[in-house]
Amino acid sequence: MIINLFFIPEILLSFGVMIIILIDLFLQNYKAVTFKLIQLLLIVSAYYSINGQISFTHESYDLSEFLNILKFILILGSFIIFHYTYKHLVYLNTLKIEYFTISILGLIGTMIMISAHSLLILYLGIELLSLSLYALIGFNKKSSLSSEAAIKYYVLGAMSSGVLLFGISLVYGFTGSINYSEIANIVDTVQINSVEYLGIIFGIIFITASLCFKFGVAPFHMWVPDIYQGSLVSTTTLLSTLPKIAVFIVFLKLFYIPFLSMINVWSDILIFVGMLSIIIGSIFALTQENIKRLLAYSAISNIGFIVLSLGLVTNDGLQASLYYTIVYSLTALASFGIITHITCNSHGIEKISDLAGLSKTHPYYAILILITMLSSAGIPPMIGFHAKLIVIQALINSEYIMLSILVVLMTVISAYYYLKVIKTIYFDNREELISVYSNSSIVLSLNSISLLILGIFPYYLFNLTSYLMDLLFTISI
Amino acid sequence: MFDYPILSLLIWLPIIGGLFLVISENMSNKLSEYLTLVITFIILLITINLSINYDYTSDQLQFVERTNWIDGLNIFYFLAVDGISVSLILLTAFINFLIAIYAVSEKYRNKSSFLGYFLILEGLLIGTFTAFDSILFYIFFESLLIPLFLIIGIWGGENRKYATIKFFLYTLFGSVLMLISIIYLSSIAESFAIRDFYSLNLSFNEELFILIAFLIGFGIKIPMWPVHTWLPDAHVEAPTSGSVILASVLLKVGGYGMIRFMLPITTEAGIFLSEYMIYLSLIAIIYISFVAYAQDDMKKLIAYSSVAHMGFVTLGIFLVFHLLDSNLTAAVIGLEGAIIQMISHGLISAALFFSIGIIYKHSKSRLLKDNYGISMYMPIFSFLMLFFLMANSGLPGTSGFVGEFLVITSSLGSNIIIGLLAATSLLLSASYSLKLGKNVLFGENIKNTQGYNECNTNEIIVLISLVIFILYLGLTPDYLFQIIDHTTINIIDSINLGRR
Repeated sequence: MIINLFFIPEILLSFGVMIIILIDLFLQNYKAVTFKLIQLLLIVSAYYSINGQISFTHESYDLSEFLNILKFILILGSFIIFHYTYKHLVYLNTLKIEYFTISILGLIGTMIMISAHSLLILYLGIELLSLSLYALIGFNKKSSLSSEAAIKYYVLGAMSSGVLLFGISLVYGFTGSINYSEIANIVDTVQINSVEYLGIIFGIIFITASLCFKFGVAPFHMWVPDIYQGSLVSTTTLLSTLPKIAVFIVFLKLFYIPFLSMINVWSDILIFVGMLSIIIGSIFALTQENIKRLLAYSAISNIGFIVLSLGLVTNDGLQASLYYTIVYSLTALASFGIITHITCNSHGIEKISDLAGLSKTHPYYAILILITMLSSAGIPPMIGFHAKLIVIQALINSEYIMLSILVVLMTVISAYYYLKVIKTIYFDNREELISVYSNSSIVLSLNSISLLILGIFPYYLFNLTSYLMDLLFTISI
Repeated sequence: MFDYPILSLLIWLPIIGGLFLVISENMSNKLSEYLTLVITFIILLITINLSINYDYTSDQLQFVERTNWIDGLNIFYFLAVDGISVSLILLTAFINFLIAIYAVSEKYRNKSSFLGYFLILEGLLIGTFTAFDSILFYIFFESLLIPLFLIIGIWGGENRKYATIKFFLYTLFGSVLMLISIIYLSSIAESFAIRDFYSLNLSFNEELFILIAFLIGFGIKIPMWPVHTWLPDAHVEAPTSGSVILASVLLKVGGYGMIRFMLPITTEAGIFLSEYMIYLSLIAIIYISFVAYAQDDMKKLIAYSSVAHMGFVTLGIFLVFHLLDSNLTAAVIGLEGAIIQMISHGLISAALFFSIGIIYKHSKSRLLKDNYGISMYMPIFSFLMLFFLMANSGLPGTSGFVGEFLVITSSLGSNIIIGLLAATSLLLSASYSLKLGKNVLFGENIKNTQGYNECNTNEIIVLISLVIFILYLGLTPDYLFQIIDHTTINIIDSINLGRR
């Protein structure tokens, strides 16, 4: 048992990170080798995450096949991100192995978050993630925007952590427990409109607000564009994928285990917040000139779709949100991944107009961006269409017809700014220097083209989410 | 009947060939031309073979291919053809073959991608006309926008950025509303197959909302007045071949969708609203004809004339609603007229846009005032173009006459005023067509500053083959009638089935 436990990915990664920090101290000049070791570490822990066959529910921590698959997805995601990041950092001459070790600590934080079965462990996971994100955002010391972003995120993040703790203490105070299952038992028996009931509702609202901040959902979205813009593209890639998946799972677990009997409270909150994010994300993106800010608003509206379908509290909605989360992560990885690969006048891509004329100099990359943008806009046959399709289907099955009309109108509006990017790439002419690190990156190509291939054969992903759903309901989360 | 999946072949051969051409940017022009010619020719042969083997005495769907696509959502990869599909596939394959021939003699930057996008478009169009699962239909319907967006945007005129985005957003807006009604219908029918929607028991209000969504979706595509404004912009900016495919096939997707979705699904609401929809069609026919007359840009003139002619298609379709209770024969005639009008307009508008493309190639201007006296230097071309203009105005003996005649006959079956108003089109379309012919083809042009020169062989082949088919359909429309006859009656039957 002890030996087995050593191989759960969290522990494996923690030990691995310690060793890599030591190795890096002594092998300062062999960064490429150390990076290979990091990749090896990720591959090994990915292997054990799905082949470990460990599942148990401890008082405050659980491991199950569902979580193992999600951890596998998280590790896979970081593997891809590291792949993009490495080239980007080498190009910018700021390669430091610390960047990767800190990212791995963040990855461990996300794993702890999704495995937590107690509110305090959840808090620990979130803090571990946030601390590493503070460091990563401020990584680019030379840029004032980066420092500004780091301070902003630190102050706001600390405040939201405080709100989270406040919510947790309210829940603890009125239920007497921090364990998910115990809270669930107590919440079940609480009488409606008693003092305890109100206290728990306040607790839920505070916890939800804090998690919404981490998720980047409107009206807690103000930090997203600034921080996306200020940090390195590679950090943005990380920010827009791993924490989002983790927070989504945390939402799922919190609402379906401890607070399940409070459906009427949180489902309305989620639907409102989700709809607001879709609207704000779609409309505010229209005037953005900076591609990172544009993608930030696009992320806000995408997260809105996830939260909205989660708030429906139906099987359809749950599956739709799972599906959408995976699709969104793939798309975000691809779109930011492409931007890490392209530079303009030997600095990174900042403005949309920096991409002008890409189709003539680098047609291959232009096709990749075309695919990712169309997928984000939800145009068939890309996978983004299927994701939006099942969200809308879930909405209609729950008889939210007007809401679904509003959602599709917002997708039309958001299609405008994705088209603007395509327009810049294909129709605008410019003579400035656009360069790419390599003519074709296999990982990037697979990542982007998978959006098209999965769109034509969407049942693979659909079967995966159905399988996850089965796991969710047969075994407890 | 067939060992190989013929419809899948028709869809995926051009798409895969097109993707190959798009990706291989450095392919030599010659090779890409040959590849496109061969692929479009094979597709044409297969479609002809299909139309010969199509059993037009049967009411059943034919060449059915049906496999599970997305299990959990009950979405099928469901392809089949009926008479309307066969006629429209034939049109698609024929026009694309002509475009391939025409493109051989043209110069384009990055030609292999240009041809590749057209091949992709052909595959998607055939997919749209053969999909019998609503989500599959929607996917093809919506994907059509991508290659056309790129064709107009990359190879288009000066104002192309505005035109492409307008066109894309307009059509996207229409189609997302349609998507919602499709999902709503499927949530009731628990299936996405289009035919399962026909027998649903919808309340009147549900039908009304679904009808309006479909009307917006397909009405923008066709386009109907007042949502037609994207079409002239898109046409003016598109390269010649882009205009051809847009006018001759893409607009028909809207009419096809109306016949496939609106007529059988939302019958009651359709009957309720039919009067107003007929007014809309009449406005398109009459008002847009006047607008066409006022244009000084040849392409815009033909674009508006397209809108006016598509008014006949919508009129024929909406007359079915109007006549369903009173005069079933007239309803059948109206629907047949609408279908024939779609096919015939597909040929005539293609011919006119090709002709304008040829003129533009010499004079580099599309304006009426810059082009005059062409007949002095391009006599053969002028003769052919005059013929097309006559066909456009519905001269008896050309295919343009058949469709309009049928629709007008049908409208007389309901109300003489509607019939009279629709018939004014014969006068109005003749006036703007002849205005174009008179100004551009005839007149003194001694200096020939535009550098007019007789067409080359490819262009002559393209135009002559269009002449042959326009005359063929005009003189003996029997074959087309045979193909669509059972299907139209079948559709009218399923409408009545749904009402009971």
